[in-house]
Amino acid sequence: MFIHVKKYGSIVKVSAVCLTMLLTSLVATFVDAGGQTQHLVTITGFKFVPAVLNVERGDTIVWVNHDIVPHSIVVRSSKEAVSPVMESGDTFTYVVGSSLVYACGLHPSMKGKLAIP
Amino acid sequence: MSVATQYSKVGSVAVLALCVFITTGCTEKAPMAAAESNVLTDANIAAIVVGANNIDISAGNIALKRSKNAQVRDFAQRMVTDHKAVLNSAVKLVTKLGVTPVNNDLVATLAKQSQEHEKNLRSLSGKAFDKSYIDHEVAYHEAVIGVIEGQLIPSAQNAELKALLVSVLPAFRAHLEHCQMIQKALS
Repeated sequence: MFIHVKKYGSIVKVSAVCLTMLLTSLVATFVDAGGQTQHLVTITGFKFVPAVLNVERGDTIVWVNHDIVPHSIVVRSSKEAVSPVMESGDTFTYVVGSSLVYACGLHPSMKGKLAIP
Repeated sequence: MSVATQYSKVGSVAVLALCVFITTGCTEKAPMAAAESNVLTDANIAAIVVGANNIDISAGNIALKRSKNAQVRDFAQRMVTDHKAVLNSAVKLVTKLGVTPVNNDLVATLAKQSQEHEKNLRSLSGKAFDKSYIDHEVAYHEAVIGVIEGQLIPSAQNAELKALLVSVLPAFRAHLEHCQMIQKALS
């Protein structure tokens, strides 16, 4: 019986580790060693994921282009460029100064928002 | 030979609809639900994917030469860049899988219709060109999305080829929304 309990205990521990690893990989927001909050926005399937992020002034946003085509970030209303064109696999880092309603400069149907509450 | 007879060899109402849309620029929905059980091999699908992307790249290049409208030119450049990326991705995959694209009636018809469309485009200029190009792009993307969803994805045997077809759908949908926005602005 003890052996069984120990066995199940190991399974639980292994499962917990796997779950933690999975959740860590899925988390889009984390605090780096310097105490700064970073948010990851993945560009995949012609969508910004997550499309809407609640952020604070001074947070860092990292967009990662996982699509096979280029994308860019522009202010939705003015079309002013926020990022250069990001080729497939490229990343772009941006420090939040204010709320930003944005779109892809190359594919206007792709929309996103950085919201400061 | 009538158009309907010509396309009946392909044995697919959806495929026929795609070809008719390309010819006429019609924006009505294809009768996808009525599609018959046609047999498309992975080699046929590869040829269709290559042909469909090349057609839009070629039309985009004509638009870049003839249009002076910034929106139309930006869209045309997107078509050239994005469809080249999709094409390269498809070629890389079929090379890896050892699939040699095999042309069928559809591919031949696509090529013929594309030549006619391009001939028409070359005869136009200014607003008439922009309208013809964008109207056709709307119809073409609607039809291609219908064929990918209704025919190519269900027919694909190889899992990686099927995954590629699924992964390119968002690109076609984004292109469709983009050209519909321009179509609205032009009207």
